[in-house]
Amino acid sequence: MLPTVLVVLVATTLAVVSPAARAASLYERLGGEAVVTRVVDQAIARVAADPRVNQSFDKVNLRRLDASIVVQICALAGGDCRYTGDDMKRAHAGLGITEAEFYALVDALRDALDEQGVGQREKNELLRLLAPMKRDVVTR
Amino acid sequence: MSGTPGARVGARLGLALGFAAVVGTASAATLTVEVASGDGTPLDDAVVHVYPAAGRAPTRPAAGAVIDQVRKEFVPLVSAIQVGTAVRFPNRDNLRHHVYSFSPAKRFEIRLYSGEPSEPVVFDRAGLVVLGCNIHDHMVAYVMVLDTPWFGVTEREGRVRIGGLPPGDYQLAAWHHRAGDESSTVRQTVTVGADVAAAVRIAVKPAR
Repeated sequence: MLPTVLVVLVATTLAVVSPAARAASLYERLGGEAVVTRVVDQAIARVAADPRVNQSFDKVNLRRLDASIVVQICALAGGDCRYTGDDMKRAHAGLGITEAEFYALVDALRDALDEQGVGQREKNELLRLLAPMKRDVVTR
Repeated sequence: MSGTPGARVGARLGLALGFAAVVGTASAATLTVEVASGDGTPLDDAVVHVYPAAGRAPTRPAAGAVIDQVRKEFVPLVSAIQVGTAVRFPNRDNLRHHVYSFSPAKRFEIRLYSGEPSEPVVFDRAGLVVLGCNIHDHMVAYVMVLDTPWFGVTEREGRVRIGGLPPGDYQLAAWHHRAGDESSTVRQTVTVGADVAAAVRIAVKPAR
């Protein structure tokens, strides 16, 4: 009799503990696909319309670009996504992107995250995840 | 501007030379076709192809073809090739392209990085293949894959010459990308004895 009771107890404890023990991913805390999609659409629309930095976006399919960035953020931020696009080095090869252009997108992202109501902590966590891309993106 | 017309002429010259190599039969004739829109405006970039009225067209070894990407455009816009032709896609741009086709005659996608050669794509079924670029969505190219050795693409003045035709009755088919999909192909019969000319009208939508 005793072993059965133990097993039941253990099973019950696991069932109660596991959801609470699992911390929400950054992707969830950012607001998931809905919020991240709005953030990316807004940030890319802003840089694509900015004549100081938009030559890299000339004739580019922005809808597909936005979708690709959302998946990449989802994968990086612990969401349930797998990014199958090109790595950042290949994706930006030949575009001759400057540091100023890179930071223009960072600024646009920061503003979009604020406007979409993402918390300071989540915003900084996301920007920290994206920062190492600079060495592959900036080639001038 | 220098790369675009040069590449285009090169692709067509390749076709013309291909014909020159297989023609040479004394009795073969040349068919000159003039393609115009409904209002009589000459149409360049129309694909014209010819089949025997009875029986099948002889198969000929297919030479390779090339579709460049230059300044975020496919060059040439329109290609005609034989079934089995391997097409190379050199990327002349200093950025990547991602070519795809959803057409039933050939579905594929190929990532093309600047300065990196890629494997050619073999078009193994007849039919129209429409190409796009995932990254630059205005880019488009048309590849008509044909099971006949007698074909060409009209150039300025809407004219194309198709050589090496033995005397006989043929069905002449002409298609233009501004008319619609493959079902908009216009067909008419033509009898070839000596060198002969034909005129075709295709109803096309206005150029954008």
